[in-house]
Amino acid sequence: MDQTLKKRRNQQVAFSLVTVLTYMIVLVLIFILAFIIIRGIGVINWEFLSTPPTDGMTGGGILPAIVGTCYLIAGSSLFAFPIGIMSGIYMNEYAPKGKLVRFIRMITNNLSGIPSIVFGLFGMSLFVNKLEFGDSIVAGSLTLGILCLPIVIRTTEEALKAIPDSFREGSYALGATKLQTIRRVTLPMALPNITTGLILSVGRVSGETAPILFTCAAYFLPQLPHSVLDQCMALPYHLYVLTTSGTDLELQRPIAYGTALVLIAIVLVVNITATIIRKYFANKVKMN
Amino acid sequence: MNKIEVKDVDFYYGNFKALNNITLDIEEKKVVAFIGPSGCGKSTFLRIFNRMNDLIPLTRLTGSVKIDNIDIYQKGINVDELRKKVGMVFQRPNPFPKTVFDNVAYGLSVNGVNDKNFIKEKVEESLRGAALWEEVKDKLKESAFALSGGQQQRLCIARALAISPSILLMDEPASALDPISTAKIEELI
Repeated sequence: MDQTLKKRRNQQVAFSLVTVLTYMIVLVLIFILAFIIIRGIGVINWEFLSTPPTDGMTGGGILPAIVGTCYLIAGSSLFAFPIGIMSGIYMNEYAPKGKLVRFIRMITNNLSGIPSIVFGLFGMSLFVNKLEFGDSIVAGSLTLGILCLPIVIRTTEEALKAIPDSFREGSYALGATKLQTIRRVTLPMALPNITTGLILSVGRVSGETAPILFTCAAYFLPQLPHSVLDQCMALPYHLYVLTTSGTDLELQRPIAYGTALVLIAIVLVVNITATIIRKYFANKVKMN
Repeated sequence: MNKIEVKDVDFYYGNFKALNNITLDIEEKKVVAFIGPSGCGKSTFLRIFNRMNDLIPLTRLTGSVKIDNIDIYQKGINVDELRKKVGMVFQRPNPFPKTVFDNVAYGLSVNGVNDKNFIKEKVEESLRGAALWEEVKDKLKESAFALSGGQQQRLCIARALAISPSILLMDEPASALDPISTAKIEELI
């Protein structure tokens, strides 16, 4: 066959393959979403969102679980974001390039590979027992925080690494200190990409069940938590409970789908908010 | 008296000796140009005067470099203070992702100047000094990235002028620019 023809054919085959695969993934995603929406939308109403479960969890709503998940997201973010971002800054801007940084990076990378149930076990022995927080929002948040630290550290580091040194040099050449350079030039430039990492970690935190299993999550709580030392319900764990145990699995099934839908909606809302924030920072960097 | 006195300077990147036994005096208020083939160490030598090479790991300098009769490589020298006195313009324009105004004001504000009126005056003065004022006076609130390459480089010169350095280092500031921009910068110098 003619060489150019062959080349063109190969080109077309490769292009079609890539396109088909991409659409397949999108289709799977749409399928999952549609499946949950269709099954779950029926139970969603104001009462479902604003009341606790009743009748042995076969009726009522899921308010305590929604609130609990929000607390856990907020708590773990409060813990993991500052520490993670500062570690990332240290790794890229301060630490001398060499064995130490490579070692820390290896550790954090491995940390993100540890199964989440192990984090749960660790959280239980450290926060629940040793530090005597008991099964509580604090213990759960800290455990989830540790779980998402590697993501935050890595994305911060990568975001800072992507900024050319010429910007740092320009700042130093004007007599700026390292801290001023980071605060006023490097970090603002990296912020849009760091935000992406934060979104990812929030997505992960809101969906995790295993780490809160032994540290925080309550099987059933009719009232909202009063303090951070209280237990709370959480959407993913509630979903698990509704699907596997309880008084009447058949009656609970629609509620389970409703719970899944709410969980997805929360992640979606967080994502959209973060995208808006990201856009805001990106514009600010360019225009300001 | 000489402004700058360089004596017996050797400079190393790791084991590689980049500068070999340089001795040189430069008087005050003089324009001095270093010429030589690519990779002969012009930039390395230039970056010695504001200790920009400190940022590169495993570099080492022997000999002495004096500015206003003070050895800038002795212990206890405040490098940030030194860089305030010895400004620098780089080979490629590197404005910050901020507005035109904030780019020029940056050097002032990191050095603790808060007086808004003073900053305003200084920004205009510096932009005029870099022959850029007429072109950007209506664009002060726009991003520096919206300027052309030549304008960006003159913005970087203005940025360096704003903190009133007594020495200005320029590392081939026109190498990435078109002939007209180059002419403007040459005229400026």
